Amino acid sequence: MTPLLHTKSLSVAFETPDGVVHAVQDVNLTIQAGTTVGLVGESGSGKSTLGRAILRLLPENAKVTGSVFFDGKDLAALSAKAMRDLRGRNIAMIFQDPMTRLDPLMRIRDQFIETIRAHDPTVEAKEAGQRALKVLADVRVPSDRMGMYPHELSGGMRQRIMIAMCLLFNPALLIADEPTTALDVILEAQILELLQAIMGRYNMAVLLITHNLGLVAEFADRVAVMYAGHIAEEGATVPLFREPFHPYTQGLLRSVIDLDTEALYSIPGSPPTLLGATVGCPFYPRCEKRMDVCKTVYPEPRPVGEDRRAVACYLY
Amino acid sequence: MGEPLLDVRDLRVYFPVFKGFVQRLLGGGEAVVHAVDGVSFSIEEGEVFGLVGESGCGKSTIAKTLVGLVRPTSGKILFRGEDVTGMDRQTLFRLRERIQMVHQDAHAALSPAMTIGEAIADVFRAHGIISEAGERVPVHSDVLLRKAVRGVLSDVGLRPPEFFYDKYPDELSGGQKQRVVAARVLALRPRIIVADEPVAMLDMSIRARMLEFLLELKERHKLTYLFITHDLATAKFMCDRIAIMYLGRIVEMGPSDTIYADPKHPYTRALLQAIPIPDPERRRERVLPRGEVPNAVWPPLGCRFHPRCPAALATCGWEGRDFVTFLEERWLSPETAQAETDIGPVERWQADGLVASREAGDADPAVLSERVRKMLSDERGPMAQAIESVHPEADSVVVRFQPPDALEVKTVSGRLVECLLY
Repeated sequence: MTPLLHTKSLSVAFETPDGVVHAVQDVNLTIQAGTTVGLVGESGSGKSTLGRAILRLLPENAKVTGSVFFDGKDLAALSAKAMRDLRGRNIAMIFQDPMTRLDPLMRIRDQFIETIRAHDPTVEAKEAGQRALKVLADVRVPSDRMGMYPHELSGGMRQRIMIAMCLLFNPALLIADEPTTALDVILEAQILELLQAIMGRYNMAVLLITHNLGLVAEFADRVAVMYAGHIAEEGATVPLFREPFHPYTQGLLRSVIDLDTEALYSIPGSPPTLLGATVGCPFYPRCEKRMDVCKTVYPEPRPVGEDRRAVACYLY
Repeated sequence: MGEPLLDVRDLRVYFPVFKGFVQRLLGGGEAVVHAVDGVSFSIEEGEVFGLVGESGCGKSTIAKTLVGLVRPTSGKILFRGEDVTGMDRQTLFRLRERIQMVHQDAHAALSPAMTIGEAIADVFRAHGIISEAGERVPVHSDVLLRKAVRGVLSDVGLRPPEFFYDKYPDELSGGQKQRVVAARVLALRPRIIVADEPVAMLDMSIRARMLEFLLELKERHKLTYLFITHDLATAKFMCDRIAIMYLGRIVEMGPSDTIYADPKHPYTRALLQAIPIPDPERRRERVLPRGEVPNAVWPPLGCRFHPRCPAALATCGWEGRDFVTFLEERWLSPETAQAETDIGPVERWQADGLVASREAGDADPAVLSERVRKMLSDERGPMAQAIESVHPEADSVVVRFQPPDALEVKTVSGRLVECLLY
């Protein structure tokens, strides 16, 4: 089966005054239709850059190599116009702070109409309004919110409206970049339950980018763990959480503080800066199981264990 | 038990809301945010006391009030039995040495143009060098000053201190910056440290190290902590006792073990249920509270949690605006909205205290009242049960609620709970 999305040796480097920052390195990531992939990593791991690279939403100083295939098509080959049309229609994206994505001077109704007409200028305002009402009902936003401005809405309502806008064209993939990080825990759970319900109804795949391992465990079918621009480990959620293979995944899971935590653990050291070329495994300085070989050559991901999980580590 | 180190009694902090020119002309009274609305708790020496709640619950306002950054509207704060709420500036200056605060954003707390050493030396210049025994020595020589700075730097684990002395905040990691902030605080030899979300901005893999560091400092300097967090898991690990806050009130308070083993308030239960579990084999169905935290300018009547509470009773404080919310949710289904167009739209309903009403317009108020009664006849929820009457009044339909039962703080299985279920 052709995967819905597939990245092949995708790398992103930023030119900065201090040198080249290698934010994403050689990432191969596959998303099947209708599934949820959790992309987890700490700040600076490159997870958000990867999400934006897929949609070609990076700033000018970003140098992207490798390819992104969506539905079998190479996205790099698309014209800027074709790419613009694909965004929103086939792949939609939501962000941490909906306030930065909504126009503060426009009523919700008008923002919907504008969005619909950007893709399909022939749609009448009345029909666009009807379509907006339908998706808003799907995300449980009362119809009277249509006449309001973003600042009159609560944080949860704004994020629901962002999700509703994504649903307008029934995209096959939703990239959700820390969609609930700005929300409190109850609201977060509400929004994730909503996303889950909608995924089924719209047969939509989700790439959930988050720092929160708990969310991934509750929500994702597969998990990709990112560290310093690389995917350290990728596999089905249940076996990966049951028995993490990569020392970074092991450390990260041990460092989660939850209601069952009896002893605290933190990974020694701190994440590397991604400035300049790196050799070897980026986790080497912090790894408790490091070997000499790790220092010089990056370990190519290889299938490990019964679930044939991709693990980039010389231990396997 | 002796006198508590800190005793907060019926603390209220209201903030005025800025009203536009037109709104002021229209009047309607003063609007205030009820940030903290009648909160009492005390902290014993050597304790880690947690204030836990979601954003907007008032936990950070309490922290700021305790260190004198915000003036309370009413209520008392007693430090070792002495009322500190009405103190003059000079006394307050000395008091602040005893109660110090660590903020969430260590980066924002440090000047980017000041070396770490200078940032700490500044504290000594302002307050003098305070010995373990509490004696104050004015700074009279650079040698003495440098020695004192090196002392606190190494106390917080920034070793060797000479290495960090001339560094700028930008050259340090997030965890190291938190330690610098801690060093500035410890330089004053405080008794209580108010830690406001001290690890929220740190990555998971290094968070534990910061928490361990805080516990280590507490042991070494015999400190007392007021630990403020939205994260129930961290609070469970850190705190001896916790208070769960919702919209300016404490809803449940007691020993951590007791509360986590068997939470009593429906809000505490909801919070605990909502925490994602990092184990895909323990996914579960949960009952989440509906909606969001309401505006603290007009907190709900009765128990503030009642509109969202999965366990609410008819006596919890249902009022006119809850009826309007009920209509909104009911009409999310387009079919129902279509079938009940004569009762809607929502915008025509107005809420005022215990009453919700709608002008009948061309329709007969009596007929419309009957329609509303019929709509409510298959509703079994506590809101519907709390409705006293639906009747025509002049040219309007009026839905009237029964007044709520009085809320009291009760002792339930070893903790305090404010809930009508008990």
